[in-house]
Amino acid sequence: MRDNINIALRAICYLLIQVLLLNHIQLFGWCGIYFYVLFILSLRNDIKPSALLLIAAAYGATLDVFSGVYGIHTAATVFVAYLRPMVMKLFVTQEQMEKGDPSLKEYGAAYYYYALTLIVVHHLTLYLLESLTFVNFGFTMLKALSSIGITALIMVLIEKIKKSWRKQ
Amino acid sequence: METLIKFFKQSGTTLLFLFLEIMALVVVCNNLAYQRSVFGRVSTVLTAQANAVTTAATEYLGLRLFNNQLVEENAALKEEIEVLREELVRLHAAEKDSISYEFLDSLPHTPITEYITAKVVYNTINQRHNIVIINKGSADGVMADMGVVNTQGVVGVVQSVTRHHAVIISALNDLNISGKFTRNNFLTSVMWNGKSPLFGHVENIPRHMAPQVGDTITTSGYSAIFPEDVPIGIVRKVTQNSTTAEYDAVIEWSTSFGTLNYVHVVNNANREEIKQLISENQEEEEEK
Repeated sequence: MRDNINIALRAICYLLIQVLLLNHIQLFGWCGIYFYVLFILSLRNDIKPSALLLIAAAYGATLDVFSGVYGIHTAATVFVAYLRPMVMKLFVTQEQMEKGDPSLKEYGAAYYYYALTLIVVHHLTLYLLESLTFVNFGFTMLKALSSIGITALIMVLIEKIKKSWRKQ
Repeated sequence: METLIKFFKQSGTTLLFLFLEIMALVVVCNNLAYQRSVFGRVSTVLTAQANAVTTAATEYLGLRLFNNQLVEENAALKEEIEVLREELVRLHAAEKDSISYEFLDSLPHTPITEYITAKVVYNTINQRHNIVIINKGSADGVMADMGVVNTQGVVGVVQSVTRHHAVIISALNDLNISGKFTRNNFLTSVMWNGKSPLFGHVENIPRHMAPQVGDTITTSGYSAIFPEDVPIGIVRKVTQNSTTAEYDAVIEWSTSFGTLNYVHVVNNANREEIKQLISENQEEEEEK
């Protein structure tokens, strides 16, 4: 129960930061920041895949409503939630998985591979759905890549901070 | 039957995923282009209120820029007063000569175009389909299909209204704005290709028109959405199509969409009348 409240609170924090702050920031005038996906990446391992999908759908839909675009964030987030267990298996060993929940501290470098793969999947889905066309494909990719870079940077920062806090 | 249940148990997650994903994609497809900016009423109010928080916080940051705009607008208004004064003097003189009072009285007194000033509470520029939400709605006389301008130039067209808010399709969307080259009154249509929020596009300009860098494009005033001569942009680059020999032009928007603050909704008194005439005409043509 306490864990569930914890997850809900974290979701609200991520959503508030994304909606109230980051949705208004466009680096260089065209590069959006979509760090909210990190919430899905950091969820506990013992959540069932089907529950993960439902959480992701609700989370994405909330963001859609507040961002003024319908369905795009939901589609991308649900896709990430679906791929998460597979990507996890790909990079993280069974031992590590049993040791603890996704974080740099528990998984080491494997966490970076895992997180980066899912961030890339998420952002590509998001940008392709948003443009819904292959016209200006190069520019869409440039936007997606720079967003991926920034989200990855935020991910590394959060993990480093979490790691140093736990040490103390 | 057992195998069916077994199948569902094994691939339940995948089925759930497919179901959710298809639902999301259906929503995406149903909200394409214009429809995308037609908000559910609830979400417009929610979005507007959520964004009012950030707007309240960032309002002060733009004050200096906004002040400059006000000063410029003041200057323009003063100029206009001067012009009108001169006009008045001329009319008084004419009155002494030959024009009768009856004729002057018969001229329309009510202005055709009225402006409803509104504050921007939500604005995007980095999406493919951008919208603006303002804090005036049907209660203030804002209606769908009204044009929206600010002191710099065109902003967009009202898409849908709630009681106290309105959603505007910004020019940075799939909006075709009817405009003209001020140099020779050549009619054209300005579009946006989704790349930079600073530049719009004019395509298929016939060869004899030969647009030049520096040409100004303003609204044509033919649609009753925008009044005449509202700036749209300035031609920055001209390219010629090698097969058709027609010109394409890149124009720099007069409006800086990133810093929208206050906008004016155009209420043309004859809007309904003109719209009706156009639709009647179209019906007749369809009958033919």
